[in-house]
Amino acid sequence: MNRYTKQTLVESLIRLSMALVVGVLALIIGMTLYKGGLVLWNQPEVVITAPGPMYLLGGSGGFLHAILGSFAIVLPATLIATLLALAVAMYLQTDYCSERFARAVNLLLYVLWGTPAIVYGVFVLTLLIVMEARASLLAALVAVTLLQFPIIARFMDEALRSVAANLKESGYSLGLTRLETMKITLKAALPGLTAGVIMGFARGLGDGAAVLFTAGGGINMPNELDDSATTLPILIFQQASSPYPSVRDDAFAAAFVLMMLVLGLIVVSKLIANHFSRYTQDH
Amino acid sequence: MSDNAAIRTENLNLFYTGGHASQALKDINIAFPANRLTTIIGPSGCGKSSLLKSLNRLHDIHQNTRIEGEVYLGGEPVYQSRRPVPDIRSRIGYVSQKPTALPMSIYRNVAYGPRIHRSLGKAELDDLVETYLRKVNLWNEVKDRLHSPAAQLSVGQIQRLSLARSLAVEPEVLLCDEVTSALDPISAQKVEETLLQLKEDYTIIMVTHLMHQVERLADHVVFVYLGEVVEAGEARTLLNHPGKEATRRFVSGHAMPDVALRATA
Ligand SMILES: Nc1ncnc2c1ncn2[C@@H]1O[C@H](COP(=O)(O)OP(=O)(O)O)[C@@H](O)[C@H]1O
Ligand SMILES: [Mg+2]
Repeated sequence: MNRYTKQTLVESLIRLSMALVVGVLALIIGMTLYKGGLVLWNQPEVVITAPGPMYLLGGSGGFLHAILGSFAIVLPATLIATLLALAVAMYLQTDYCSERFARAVNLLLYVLWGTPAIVYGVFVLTLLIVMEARASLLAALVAVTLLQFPIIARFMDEALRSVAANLKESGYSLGLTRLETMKITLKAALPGLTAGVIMGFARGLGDGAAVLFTAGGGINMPNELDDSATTLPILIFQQASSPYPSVRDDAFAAAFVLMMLVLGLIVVSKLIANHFSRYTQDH
Repeated sequence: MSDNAAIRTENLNLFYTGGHASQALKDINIAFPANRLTTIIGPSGCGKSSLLKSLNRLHDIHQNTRIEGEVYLGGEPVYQSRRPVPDIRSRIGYVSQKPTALPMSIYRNVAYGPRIHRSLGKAELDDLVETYLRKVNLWNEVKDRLHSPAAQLSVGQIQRLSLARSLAVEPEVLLCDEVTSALDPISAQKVEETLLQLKEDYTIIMVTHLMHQVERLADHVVFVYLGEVVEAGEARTLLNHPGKEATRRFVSGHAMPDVALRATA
């Protein structure tokens, strides 16, 4: 085959795949935004209204309980996962541990990252059964933390690793201690560190499997740590499997809100990254 | 000569113990005279950077190195010392091959070290920042944007900033590793001129593989080859009347047998 024909052929295939992927994504996002947008346009109050007693059976009210539940579970989970991940990522750098150990731990983190979220859910559920406790906000928080930790840790390790070795050498040669040098390294890695936290946050916010068995999923507002709670993905699951068409439509409204929250998070992370990247050298 | 040596090594051996284990330095016994500029020369891969970093214990920050022997700084041991390593390092400045800006403002880059080691007031700190930025001929270029990120400077300016940052800690010795190699000719010349001024007041140990830089700057020369010091001495003497055949070949610009080839052969 002619070199140029070969190029045309391969490039056509690439364009085709591109069109396919973008088309499917546009379809999913477009349908959610359209159908969800329609519901929210007609009754925007569902976002700020607590559900009525018959909400999931087509009754009155909104899904404020799931929005608040999502934040009550995912915000503290992200905070805890971030602190743990930061400590681990710092320790994995060459200043603290051997390359061999770091490689082994990173392999483990990759495995944890690839573990389906339902496994974390079932793990926490098993603990609950052993402890004779009920599904609750706290249990869901633990499951989400477990889900987020490997993601954030891998991101952070990569961000710290990508800080140039000569930055550390410059720090140490000024007579800085390991901790003081680490502070500089952390600052240089801030764009990457932020990206890791946001990715973990977004994953925690959007995941349903980890919280499905652990959060309880009632229609009460989140209140006590040991009380049941609901998140947006659980709500979407409940609504989408409902026999009532009006309830199924509401699932799109909840998905709309979820998508906007994740989009907002990603925009915020880009803004933060841009702000801090003024301090990082690109030459 | 060891009487007026600012820093000297005694039977210094360095081993890289990682995947490709090797001995990078072999029995280095060398004295670097105070208030002079010494250049360490040799073909690339012969151990110049390794030698430089062993002087301020910079190898300690990696897990895959082992050092034997001793370095004396002003007569005091650097390795077998009871003092915390950061205290020792603060007495030895180091500027790396790759120009490096700390992720903070130009002002804070210079003030960072002194602020950690001494308690200084705002006015003293301002003075100090100006003094050292002037010392490296950078003040006029940055005085209007002291508080903008240092990363926005050109590489040549960052390299002079690195010099100022190291000097601001008031080290007894300044180590420079091929500090002009990442720079364009004009920036390189500015850094060279700065070093020429600095060598009046400081003990400078500078790695370079550029013979013209050695001729312009060096008072004293150490020739390293395959991890060993082949010859060391007064610059004029060593350049004009090298005592060893290897030195003569390197100084006159002859190709040296490649280090990597030798190592695998
Ligand atoms: N971190 C390291 N791990 C293993 N070997 C290294 C490391 N750094 C340098 N070396 C080896 O040590 C030798 C000397 O390197 P270096 O001191 O950087 O030479 P130079 O600065 O003269 O070019 C080289 O053979 C190099 O491959
Ligand atoms: Mg080198």
